[in-house]
Amino acid sequence: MSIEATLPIGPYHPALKEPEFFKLFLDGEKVVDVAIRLGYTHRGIEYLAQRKTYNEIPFLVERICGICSNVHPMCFCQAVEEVWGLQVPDRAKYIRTIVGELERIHSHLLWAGVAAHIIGYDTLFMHFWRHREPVCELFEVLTGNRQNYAMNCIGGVRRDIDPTKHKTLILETLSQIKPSLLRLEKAVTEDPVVRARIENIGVLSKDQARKLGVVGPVARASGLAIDVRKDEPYAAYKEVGVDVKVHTEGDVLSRMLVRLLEALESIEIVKRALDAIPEGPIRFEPKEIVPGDGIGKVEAPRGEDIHYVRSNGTDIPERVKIRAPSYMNVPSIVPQIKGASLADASLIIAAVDPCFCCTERIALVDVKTSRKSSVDFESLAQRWKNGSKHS
Amino acid sequence: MHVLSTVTLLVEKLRSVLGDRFQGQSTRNERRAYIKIRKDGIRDCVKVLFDQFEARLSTISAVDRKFKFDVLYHFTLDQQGLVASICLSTPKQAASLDSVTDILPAASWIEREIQELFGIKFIGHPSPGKLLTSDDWPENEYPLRRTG
Repeated sequence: MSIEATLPIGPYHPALKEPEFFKLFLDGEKVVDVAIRLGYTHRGIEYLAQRKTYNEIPFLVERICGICSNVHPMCFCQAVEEVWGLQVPDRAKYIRTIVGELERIHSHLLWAGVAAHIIGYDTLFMHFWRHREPVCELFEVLTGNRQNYAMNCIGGVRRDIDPTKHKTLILETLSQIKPSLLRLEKAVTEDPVVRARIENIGVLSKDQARKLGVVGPVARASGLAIDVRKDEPYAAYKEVGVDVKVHTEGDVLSRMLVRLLEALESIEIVKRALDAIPEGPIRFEPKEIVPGDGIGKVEAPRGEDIHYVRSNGTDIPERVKIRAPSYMNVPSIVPQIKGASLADASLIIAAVDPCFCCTERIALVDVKTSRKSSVDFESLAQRWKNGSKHS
Repeated sequence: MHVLSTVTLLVEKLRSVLGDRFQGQSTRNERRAYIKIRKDGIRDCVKVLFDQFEARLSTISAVDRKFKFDVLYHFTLDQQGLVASICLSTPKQAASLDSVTDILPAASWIEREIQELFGIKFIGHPSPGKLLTSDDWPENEYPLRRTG
């Protein structure tokens, strides 16, 4: 098999508008191999965290990701609470759960919209994002911000949820979007044209998933029933329970279904949490800084997030190690994309819901002639739509 | 299986496989076990965890301790909700560890990252190229390594 051309996608991913470099090796329209390079937005957050006080770090790590911005501070706080042996009030645990699940809903809907856009179904994209919008507006009321909620602090949360006003608003919003989500799920599963585009595409076997250590919806779509919320219940998940959604086909359709079912399950979790939330304080003040090791784990929308903190007894941590879920999921693109058609490459890359950063550009290289050219995503998409060759 | 009995089982197994390369263990709470081993035992240790305990490599943390590096391999045993952190140390001078990527592909990126950010060489890594730093980043400069 000869490699006819290489197609570098990136450093700016065309669909997700974030920098990461995928160099596709092609034989005609078939992808033979892929090389991945990252680090284009490495911001040195671990380095910074080792130079800031414990109270400042939740705000720093909140900036790791704009989509799952509740996850990282919650994870960091849990790690520190473990080192210091700090208890968190029950009410704060429920609030963390509610905010975490609302975040999962908006994140999964955002992804589903992007996936619809990539397969060229912009009507579906608009619908997904239309129903994501009320969740972002809800966040503005609950936390003061659509993203970067700044809800977590070591020992609890910073804002309370009003038992009448906020509760009613949350329930109203959720009851509004639930029937729409059920309808959209049908639009995906019952439309043969959509199915044809995402079924049996980007398959990741259970064995590959286990060896690569993938997490979250990518793992669960490949038959691995792992979910931190269930396996190591944090916040109030032990009390409110989680129904873990698992599919076994390992393709893009499975990942779509797992995420949509999870968004629906999140609605139920929020309702259960609102019903059972106890009264009481929302934060316990830390009393002393204890030296030692701590690990925080949270099920982010994209999978297991893990923070390791080593405290030396001062107000600045000795080490903060952060591993976001995409770090495990992005390498799984390699086995998924080998043998795929070039037209599916963008979808396969996007289907692991990789989390990087923003803008757009693609470079094309024809190995035979060594001719290089740069195009933007829209022109490339146009080429695909017109069915013309990439050379 | 109960978490604590899993820890006991894991410790017994590692002790018998590693012999004097096993250096001790402490349990911080019921979901966190820290197991200290000599650095030449890591490959055998990974095999036991992956093959016999269905453990998943969550990540690896390196900590700069002035004259040495502490390196912690955080393995998650999902069914038991347990994190077993395998701790080992390597001297800072000519810091190196055996790569486990050929046994466990999940280690590939994080080994390359530690190599770039701390300067710990992972011997036997199948593709040890740059992952994060730019092409013109100077050699022997490690962003997370403490100097002085």
